[in-house]
Amino acid sequence: MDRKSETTETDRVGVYYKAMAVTAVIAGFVAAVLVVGLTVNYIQGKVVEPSLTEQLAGLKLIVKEQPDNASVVEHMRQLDLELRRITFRRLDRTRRGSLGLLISLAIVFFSMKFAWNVAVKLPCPTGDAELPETQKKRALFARRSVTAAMLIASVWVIFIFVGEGVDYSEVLEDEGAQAGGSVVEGPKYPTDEEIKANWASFRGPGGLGIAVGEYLTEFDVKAGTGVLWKTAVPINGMSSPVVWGDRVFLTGADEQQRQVYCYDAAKGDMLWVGDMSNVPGRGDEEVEVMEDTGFAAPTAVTDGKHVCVIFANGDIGCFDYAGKRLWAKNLGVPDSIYGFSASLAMYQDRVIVQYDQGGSDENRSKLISMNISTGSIVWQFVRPVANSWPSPTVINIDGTDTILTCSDPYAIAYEAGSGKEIWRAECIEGDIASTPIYAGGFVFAIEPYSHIAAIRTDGTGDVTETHIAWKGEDEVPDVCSPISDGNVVITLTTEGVLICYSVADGGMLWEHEIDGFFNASPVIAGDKMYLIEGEGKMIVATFDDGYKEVAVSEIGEVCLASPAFVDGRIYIRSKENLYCIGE
Amino acid sequence: MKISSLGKIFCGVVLLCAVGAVFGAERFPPPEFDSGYQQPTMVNPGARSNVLEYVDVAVLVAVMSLTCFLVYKKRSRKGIFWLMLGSILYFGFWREGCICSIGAIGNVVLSVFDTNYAIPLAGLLFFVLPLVFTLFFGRAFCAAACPLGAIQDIVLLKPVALPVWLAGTLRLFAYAYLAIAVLMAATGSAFVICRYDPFIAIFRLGGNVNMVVVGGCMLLIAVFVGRPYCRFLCPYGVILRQLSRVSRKRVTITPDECIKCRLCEDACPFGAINRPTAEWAEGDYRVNKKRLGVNILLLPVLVVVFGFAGYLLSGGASRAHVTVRLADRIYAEESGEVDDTTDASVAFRGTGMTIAELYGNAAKVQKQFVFGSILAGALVGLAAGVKLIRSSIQWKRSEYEADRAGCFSCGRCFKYCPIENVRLKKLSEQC
Ligand code: SF4
Repeated sequence: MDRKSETTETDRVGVYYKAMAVTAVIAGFVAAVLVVGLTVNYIQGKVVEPSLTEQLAGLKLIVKEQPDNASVVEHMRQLDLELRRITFRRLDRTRRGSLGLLISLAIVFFSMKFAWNVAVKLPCPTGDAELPETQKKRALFARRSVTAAMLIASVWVIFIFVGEGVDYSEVLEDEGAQAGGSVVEGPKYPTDEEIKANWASFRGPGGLGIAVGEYLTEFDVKAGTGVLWKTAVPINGMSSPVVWGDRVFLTGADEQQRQVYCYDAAKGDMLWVGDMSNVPGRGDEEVEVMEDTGFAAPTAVTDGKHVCVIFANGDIGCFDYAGKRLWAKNLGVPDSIYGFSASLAMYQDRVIVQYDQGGSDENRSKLISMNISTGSIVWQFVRPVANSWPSPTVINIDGTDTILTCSDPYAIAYEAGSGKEIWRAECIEGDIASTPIYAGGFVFAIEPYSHIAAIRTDGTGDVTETHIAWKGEDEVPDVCSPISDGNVVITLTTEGVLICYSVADGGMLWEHEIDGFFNASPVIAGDKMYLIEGEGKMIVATFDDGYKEVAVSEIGEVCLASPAFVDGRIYIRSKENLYCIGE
Repeated sequence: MKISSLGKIFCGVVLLCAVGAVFGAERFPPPEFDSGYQQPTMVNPGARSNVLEYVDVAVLVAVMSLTCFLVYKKRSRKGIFWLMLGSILYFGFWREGCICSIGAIGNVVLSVFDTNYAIPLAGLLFFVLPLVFTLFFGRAFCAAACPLGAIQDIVLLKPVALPVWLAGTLRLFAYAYLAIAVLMAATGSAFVICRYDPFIAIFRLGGNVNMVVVGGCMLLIAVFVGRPYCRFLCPYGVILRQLSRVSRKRVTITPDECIKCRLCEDACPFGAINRPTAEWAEGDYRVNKKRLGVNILLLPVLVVVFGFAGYLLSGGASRAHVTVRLADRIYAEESGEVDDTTDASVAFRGTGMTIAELYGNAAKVQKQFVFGSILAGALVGLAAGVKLIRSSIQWKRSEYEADRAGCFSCGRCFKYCPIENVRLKKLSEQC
């Protein structure tokens, strides 16, 4: 190669190198601009859109409250459209920008690669070829580094991961041992006949407030006639007694203590007191309740082997009949403005908790089904309802065991086994407290001071428009639950106004006002209804041919809890005592 | 402008690219009011036709065959470079990194352990064919057919030579990764290789933000360190390495006899050129023999120790399985550790399955994990032990040669050999 051609070759390489370098710089500049653009685009997505999203959320809330306000609705739609436009424009820019960036980076890279290939010089090894010492050193380093890596890995294993996780074989073994060691034996859950023969939950079988058998219509506390026994209750509570066989259970609580009382049904002796302190999972959150509700408003539930209780702070637990606490846990302090009051219900070997709290759009309300003997949750579902004060009831409707619930804004029926929703009716609003009943083919739900709604039960899904047969709007109660014999349904207001409707068509049959106030829900026994007046009276009357008073007996103490009726005996909880009325 | 400054600019841009690329996919919810707009019904994309799957297989075979031709017959780095580019475009950007032989490990393992899972034939072929090629021709798959290897290879600009000891130790990660990937697939927990494929977000031009960042970082490292994923992480590479050791053909740096000119000494950016060895003193041999004996005895100890470490890790590892995770959640809810529920726990409670059943299933999975983790740990122990043994062997080599296991058949070193240049008539024999 002569000098001239060598120079030409060098020039050619130089030009080629420069061209590549310049291309790389230009493409790099384009890439940088695109990065800036994409960053701005990104920031727009993080700053502008959230503020619009917030505005939109605010408008949605307003629209929820004022659905008929056309201008707000229109404004919301416009804003939604605008937000969508901005978002999709940005996403489009991001997509195109990313592609442009990728292409420009590829150009940068390839230009650099080619420039590098032109400029690269072949190696020029210096010094000696490898010496044995170098090889030995390399092998030594290799061994040491592998050893070091193994040591680091061991330390990592020991400190970070060992002992992580729950061993489920052990959990199952423990649970098996617990179940084996329990005093609870025999069939898993009571039969329908057993349930009907007892008063296992709030308002008795099916939550209907219907008693089986004959009961005294009159008694005299002062003279002692008709009063089988009277026993003091250590701590007050609004909860009602539940009765199974020879046991009566009550709950009581104040700010410090939560207790379960077990009484001998025959003599009234207190057999044991169950303590619900130190419940696992309970935090320090304060519990605020209204005085009228108290800390022990929910009624217990029993299946003849266990008694389950729940309190206003979300503590739920179960005792066996010997008074041994089998399990207890905290469901979280319920957000309830008056204090939690929903009683427990029972289905087979499960206890049902209607855990309503917060607003209807907060998704914090739940219906929970728990294994009665272990407390494990069988299922739980979020309910689209607000905090409420009625209790769930379990009843067989047309062959399906059904859980009925009422809370603002829905009356909802669930399959008791699976918890699957069967139907819902948006027919009640406000502070719902009356427990729903099923009678004559209808579920009766009460919106306080507004109406009682009769909902046909053969529907599925949202039955608001299709299955509300009638509404009664006369003197609607705010606390007490209704009663029905299948032909008539009777409501009782706190102020003592009784209204009797025909179940079939909602026609008002009669109306009667009693002097007094009522928190306890009435009970039907035979052809009579039993009302417990707040100042301490038991009023018995017939109802099929208008209101006809049969008898009035004085208890002489404030009585706010609904009574229990079993086997010819009436159990009435007063503020301080538990009475057993019978012969 | 100097190349080094160009390099800096490139790095900066790549870094910024990593930031830019994190603008991941977003969804906008449908309107919460009745606007009269009819929501289109959701449709699932139809399955890709079988024919196209076999086209992929045919392309794979064609690329690997062409690679062998270019490496062994033409000895053309340029050809391999363009072939790599083609693979990146076809298997990478066009096929979006799926199907891939590396990820197929998970499918193959699951099909072995789960009788209800059938791997598609194309998937099986993607797993098996590169292995067969490697047995005959070395790592032809890594050279140009693998889009993951190719994208790292073409961005390599300023290779930094890693010390041999460091590269060897870092390779242990690949064994650990293989062990984890097999364990997770065998237990039906996850296809970790696919889930953590660092380049998938680049091939798909978007995706999980973390993986975009990981992919960007990996590419940035690949600018300086040759094929970091292939060398230190790729679980498929672990298998290919072993098969390549016994392959029928292997890459030779020189087309003829090595004249030990040392020109290729630092040519390989992957540290895959072995140098001729020097003679050791007699005393050194004896010491080395003893050391070798000790390390051979240590091998079963390491296997047991690492197997035990695997056992200790099994509890934590089992949480990768959806059943154990669900059981953990339910357990936390039951024991009052948490107050809220999750979608999964609510859905579980809606199934009617009892908690005891769930715990029973979780216990079964945990047992599988105990067994699998012991084996996985033992594999890592074995790899570490063998590495110790290999570093205690005094290898004998008389010329520069490509490492059978580590050579990716990239063809870079060819042009450094003067004999090759004579063959190509770029140099005269006299030179
Ligand atoms: S062909 Fe093999 S030895 Fe040569 S540079 Fe490529 S990887 Fe290294």
